[in-house]
Amino acid sequence: MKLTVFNGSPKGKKGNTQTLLDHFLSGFLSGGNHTCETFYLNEINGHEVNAINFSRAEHILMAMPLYHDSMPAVVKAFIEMLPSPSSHDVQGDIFFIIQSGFPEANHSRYLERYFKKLATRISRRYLGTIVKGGCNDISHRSDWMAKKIFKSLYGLGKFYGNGGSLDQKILHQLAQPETLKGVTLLFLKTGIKLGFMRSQFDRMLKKNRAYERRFDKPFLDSKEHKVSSKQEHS
Amino acid sequence: MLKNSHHQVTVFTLRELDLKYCIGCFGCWVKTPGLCVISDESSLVCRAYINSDLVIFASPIIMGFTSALLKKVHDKLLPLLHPYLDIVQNEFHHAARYDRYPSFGLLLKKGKDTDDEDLEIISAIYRRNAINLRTSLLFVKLMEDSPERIVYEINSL
Repeated sequence: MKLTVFNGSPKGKKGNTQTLLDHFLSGFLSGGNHTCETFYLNEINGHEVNAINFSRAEHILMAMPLYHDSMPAVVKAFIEMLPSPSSHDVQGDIFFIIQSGFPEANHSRYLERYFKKLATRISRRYLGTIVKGGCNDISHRSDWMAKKIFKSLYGLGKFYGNGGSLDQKILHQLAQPETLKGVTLLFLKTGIKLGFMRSQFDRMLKKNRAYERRFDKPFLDSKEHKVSSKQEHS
Repeated sequence: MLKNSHHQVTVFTLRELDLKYCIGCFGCWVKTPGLCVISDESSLVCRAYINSDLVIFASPIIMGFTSALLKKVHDKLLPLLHPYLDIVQNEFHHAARYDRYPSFGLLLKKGKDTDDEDLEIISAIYRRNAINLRTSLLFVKLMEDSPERIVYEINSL
């Protein structure tokens, strides 16, 4: 089987999306006589050519980060270039990967719904969407730290290679937590109030000598607001 | 018509603006807090946005969603939020940078292939956007609706 991959990350090969893809694809390529080809949607000038590659492909995987509850703008621009299918016959199949920084899968479910509809629109069989939250720095995480996630993606890839579908059990496990609940929610609420979970950004802010300016509100017009923002600083 | 109703209105024709894509570099959070590091005209939009009471996003529906051009603007509103995390409606969201955010409404032009499910999907995503941007989606209107009626409804908000 030949799988055609469209990586929709604005960061291209250097992002978290690519890391997830690498593990999925190594599972996929591990069995049988499979091949894959990846196209990058962050090269805006390539949309036209990529759209042709898209309509010619039988099996398609589109992967991307969640940007403001939907696809990155550059991915939407690509979708707008897709030719409408010449007939209503099924043109092949398609599945998706949506990864987000927030840990809960729920954030990505709305885009998932859009993709399910998109598949119908372009006359492709919809195989499902791999949703994974908590991916904010996964491209920098060691194999050991992200072992479970990488293993699941490898498993999904292998399963897909064997039967051309997504393993529903792994799909479900990978998406956890779907929402925040109970003790976890309480713990996180308290943690946030106490100012935990800021260290990653604080480290970057300090490195860039921007820490003191982290609460800046540069776009406020009224003087009143500017005073209140200054008070917050002190 | 809105101007005649004693509102102060700023209109951006997005295709005439120099807008670059957000590449998720987080520079607006960790390098120049509150400002995009890529120089383009999205700062004009951000300034007008945060100083408004109501923002109307108007777009044709293309392939079941608002235009890539409008999505570009949404992605570039990131500087208006803060990198720190917060829990809103029992979910993770980024913290607010500003004390108040405008409400927003959606004005859509149906495409030939637009159906009710598309409108539902778009509205659901914009309601999610509203949670992110500490506000609510006040209305979703179609260009097919009469402008008088839309203005009347805005005036009644």
